Amino acid sequence: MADVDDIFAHVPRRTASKWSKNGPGDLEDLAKATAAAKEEAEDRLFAAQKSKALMDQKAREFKISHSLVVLFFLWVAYTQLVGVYLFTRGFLLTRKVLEEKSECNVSPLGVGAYLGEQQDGCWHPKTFDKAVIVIIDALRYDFTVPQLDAKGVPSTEHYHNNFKTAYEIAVKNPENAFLVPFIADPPTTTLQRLKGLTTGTLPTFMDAGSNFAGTAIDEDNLIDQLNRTGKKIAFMGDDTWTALFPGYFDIEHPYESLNVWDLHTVDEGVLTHMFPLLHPDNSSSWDVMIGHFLGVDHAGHRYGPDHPAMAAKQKQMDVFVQDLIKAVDDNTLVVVMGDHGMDPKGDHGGESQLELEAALWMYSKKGVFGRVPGFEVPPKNAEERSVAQIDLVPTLALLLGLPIPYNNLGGPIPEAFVGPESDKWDNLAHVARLTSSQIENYQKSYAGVRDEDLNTETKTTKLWREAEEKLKVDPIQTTPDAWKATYETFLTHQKETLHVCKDLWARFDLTSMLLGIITLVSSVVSILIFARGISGDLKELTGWLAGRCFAGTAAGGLAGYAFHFSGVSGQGELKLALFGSAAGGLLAFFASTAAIHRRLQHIFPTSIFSVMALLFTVLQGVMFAANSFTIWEDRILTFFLTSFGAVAFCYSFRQEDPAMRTLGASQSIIFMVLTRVASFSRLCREEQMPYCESTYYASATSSVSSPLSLVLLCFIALAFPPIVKSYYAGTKSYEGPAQLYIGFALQFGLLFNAVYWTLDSADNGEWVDIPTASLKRAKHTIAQVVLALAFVAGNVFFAWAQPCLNIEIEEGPTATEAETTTTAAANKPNRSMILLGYANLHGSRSFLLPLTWYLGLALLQKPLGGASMAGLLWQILALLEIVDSNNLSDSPIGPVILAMLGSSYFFSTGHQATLSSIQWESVFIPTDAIRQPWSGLLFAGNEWGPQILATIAVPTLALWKQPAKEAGLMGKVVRVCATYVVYHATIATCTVLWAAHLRRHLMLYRVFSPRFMLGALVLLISDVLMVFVGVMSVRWNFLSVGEVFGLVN
Amino acid sequence: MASMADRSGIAENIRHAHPIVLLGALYATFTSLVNDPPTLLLQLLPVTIGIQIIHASTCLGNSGGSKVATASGNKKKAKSASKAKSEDMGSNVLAAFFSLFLALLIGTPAAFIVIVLLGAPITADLSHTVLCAAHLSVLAGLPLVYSYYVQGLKWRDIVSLNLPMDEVYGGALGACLGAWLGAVPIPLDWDRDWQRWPVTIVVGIYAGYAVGRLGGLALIGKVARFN
Repeated sequence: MADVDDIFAHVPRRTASKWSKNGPGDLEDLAKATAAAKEEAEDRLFAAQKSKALMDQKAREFKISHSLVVLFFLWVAYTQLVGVYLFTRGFLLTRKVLEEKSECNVSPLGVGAYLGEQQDGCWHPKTFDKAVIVIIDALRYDFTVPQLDAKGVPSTEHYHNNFKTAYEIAVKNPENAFLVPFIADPPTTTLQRLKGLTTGTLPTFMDAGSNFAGTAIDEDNLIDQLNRTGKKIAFMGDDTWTALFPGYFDIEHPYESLNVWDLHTVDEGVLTHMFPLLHPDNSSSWDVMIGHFLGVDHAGHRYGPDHPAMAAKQKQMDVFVQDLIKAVDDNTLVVVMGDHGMDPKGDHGGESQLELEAALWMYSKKGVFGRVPGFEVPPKNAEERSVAQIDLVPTLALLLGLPIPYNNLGGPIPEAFVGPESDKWDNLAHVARLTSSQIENYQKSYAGVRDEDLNTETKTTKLWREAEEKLKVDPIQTTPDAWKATYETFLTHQKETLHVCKDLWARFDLTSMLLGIITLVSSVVSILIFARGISGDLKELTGWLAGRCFAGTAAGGLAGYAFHFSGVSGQGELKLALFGSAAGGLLAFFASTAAIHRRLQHIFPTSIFSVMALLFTVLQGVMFAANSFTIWEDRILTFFLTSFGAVAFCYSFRQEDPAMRTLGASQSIIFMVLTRVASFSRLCREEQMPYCESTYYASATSSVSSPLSLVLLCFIALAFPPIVKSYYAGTKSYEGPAQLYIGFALQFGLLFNAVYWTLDSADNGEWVDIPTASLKRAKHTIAQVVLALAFVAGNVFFAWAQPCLNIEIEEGPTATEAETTTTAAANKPNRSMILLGYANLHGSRSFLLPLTWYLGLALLQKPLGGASMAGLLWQILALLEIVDSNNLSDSPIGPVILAMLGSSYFFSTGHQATLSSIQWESVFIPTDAIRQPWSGLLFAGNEWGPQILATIAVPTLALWKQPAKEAGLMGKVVRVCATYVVYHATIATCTVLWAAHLRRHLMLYRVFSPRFMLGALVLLISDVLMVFVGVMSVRWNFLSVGEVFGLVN
Repeated sequence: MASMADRSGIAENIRHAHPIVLLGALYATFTSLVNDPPTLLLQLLPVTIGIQIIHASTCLGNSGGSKVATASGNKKKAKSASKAKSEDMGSNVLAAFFSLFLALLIGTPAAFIVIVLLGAPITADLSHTVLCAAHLSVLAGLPLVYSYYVQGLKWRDIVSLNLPMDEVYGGALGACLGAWLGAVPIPLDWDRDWQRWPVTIVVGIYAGYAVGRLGGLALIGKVARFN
């Protein structure tokens, strides 16, 4: 009664206030009216309010239990994040950074060695006063030497035989210039390369991802040494430099570097600012000038090497080199180099030979350069002869009279020190000795930092000592041959040290890796038990489990933190606390499941579909142990998916109902055909050659989409909405919001999408004579409209949308007895009310979310990728129908196949598990600038679009065509979502296990490590999405349906 | 009666020898199969067809055991009991050739489509794939057609794995499963000649057929559960 009183409490008050507004009227009237109103209200509202109160209470209960489900998935996500973090910290290599700097007045040779004044050269007499250092980004070595085919005819590729001056001078005047292949240490990203080119040390994998956020270098480096010896530096070009060396340049003109669509702004900027400074009047304003061109690199990214734009860029650079050597004086050293190469498609980042092979050209008017015997002309390729990029560091330092940076591991480039007659071996031996001694210094400090035993002599120290002793025995060596031998001993020392360091920095923190593996494996087991091992309705258990798991997590976290102070483990407190929390949560989970052992059921598969679900997951996990299977993952997924389609086709024939049989069989055929068709869209990875042909771009040496894919995209814009509509029409669900989403948003969004990519192609191919700026503005506007429509309007409207229902009143003597019809007793007996769309009440509404996300995710892909994504959405719909018509909604096969679809389309959208296949340029689809977190989200939308779309569609798998009022529907959704997580968790855990097991494998960085990173990231993304979108969308869906029909639990 | 016993004795021998002969034929020609798959597959096809026809006409439907007799209907059984040996044999061979015709006409295109959908190349090695499909349909399809002719409901059961397991059905399923498993070693980077398309698939078909026959006997009468 109290509740009812509460409800009514406000009724008279409202009435009273209304009356009192009319002024102080007749009190009796007022009292009468109040009493009447109250009476009437009591009668009328009692029933309504009571049922409303009931509904509110049910909604409240639903919201609470739903929130607990979300909490549970949050716990799963947290545990897996901890596992991935712990493993990653131990697996991705780190190098200790020493902060010591080399001093101009402290020679590594010790007391008594040559020490010059700064103006003469610190450790060694300098050769040049000034230097112009030019980096032409991605200047591959074969761009710089004449390329002839077998018959001696010059190659006709757009990227060959354009950049000629460097080679010609090196051949004509060997004493003035030399040209050599210049080998980068992977990863071949510009940021990492600049670090290597200035510090002389090796990059570690940990830094690979930081290309988007350049951070200042705190190790000793050339730029710092230039500053310390009072040289003035002028810089112009790629702004990565100013991020790495903030405040080091006296003159600086940085330009935004990541917008690969822009081929000219950076280059024009460098040209404009460089030549005035080269004028003799300005010569006192700088000592070292650094210019960094990006045009060649961007042409490679945007068009691929074999494109006229590449030829134009290279010719422009050639003219620049001619102008540059005219403008410099006798005392200036000119260095022109690439920081890395590019793969056949014009991208870089990995470690294939083409990506590693840059070019180095040194020039001076003085005529001081010599040659290594046997290499009088520039080598044809890196197999003949090459120098390492870190060798530039001691070379430049000694040529300019600087101390060699403390951490340097490179050796002097012989051509620069051996003299024009190629006979000054004594000079070369001296610089090699200086370099080796500094390397020895560094090695000692590094060993000290690592608390290693300093008394036992290492192999490298022995080499160095032997070389030093050779010098002592015969201090004034007269024969060049003897000097040459000394030089070679030092060279061996340098090479050996480099080898040792590479090995040293490839050491893993096994404890941390093991903690991560334990966490991940236990998490897979726990979620597997949760998803498949518990009978009955999952929803009621989830909240109970979530509470215990969180309590366990908190307690374990504290225990782990406390354990740190016991000093037993050398791991940091953060790692211990994290591991403790994960372990605590998992223990709590297992203890809880033991408490409900009555509800546990075995998880061994007993039917064809559950065997398939297990087999597909486990086989995929196992195959990542072999590099060949990992390389061919795309084909293997096609194979598995078609196999599922074939078995589903067979199974459909067991259905007794002919309509169901036809539906199941036809959708299975559609599923198989789409799988195979989608597999034609692909970008081959290097290891798949020559058994693979890329179709994603116009050609193998291009980054431009073919016009054919554009036609396909336009066709899809017209044909796809009706296809989606047909899946709604079957249950008469094409009503209400479905019409808005499919008929309007999808239709217009796809048309805009086609227009965007047409404009893009027009821009690339210069089809129309419209200024690039206005084209760009139009493109950006369209992209922003589509993204806003998909992700803002689509999501917001989804939260408020009604179910896809309509009511039709039919006049007539007979009531229609359609499958989708419920007849309600209306006022007149011959009038019936038909409820359209009731048969797929939950599914039709919840699928609107993947639909609107598809729109946005498709835009972020290249045209062929956008078309592929339509295939994915269609296949998801076919899968929904297969699952429904064959009553598979309780089987694990649905979520497993959905997850595999996501993985398979990852490849159909032009991706591979390699660093060089990352489509960075997608960040610039709707805008010109990098703005976090938006750029990161756009990138993720492009890179993992298919997996994201599949994850969003997971709840629909449990809801499609399910009876509207079925009890336990929510529990079903939870089970399907958990099964989906099991799949990704198993895959990620397997990639982790194999990466750990094969950590010394030759293919670690090419195959296993990238696949591990992909697996881990996909797992975390699907975990997070499952929490925030997948499960959240279920909440809106249930509440919206519940508003009309009442909530069922 | 003696001749009947003789005949069933011969049939029994053929039944046991059949998978061994098939595997033997493949083993004997394996080197040429690896060197030039389409030529050898084309040459091997008539041999396999011959073996299959002999096996079907002698073992299936007549004396291949009760499982076949029940499956292929009482008509045949009654026929075999009443007709003379030679005439009976003649009609069996005719039926076997008819089965071959149907298996090649329908089975080969169907198998070809499925193999391509599973990822076989379309533009290259067309003859390889077609011949591979032909071998699959002769091994798996011919005995099934011989046993069940074109009874719609039976074929619905065959397609939906709803038929109680027996030697014929086991062999057919085994051949399909073997073909599927045969794809596994193809991607490995061992650079062996036998990884050439479709050598492993063909080996899988033959081995799967032999193993499937045994499996069919072991699991006789069982029906697969899908869900």
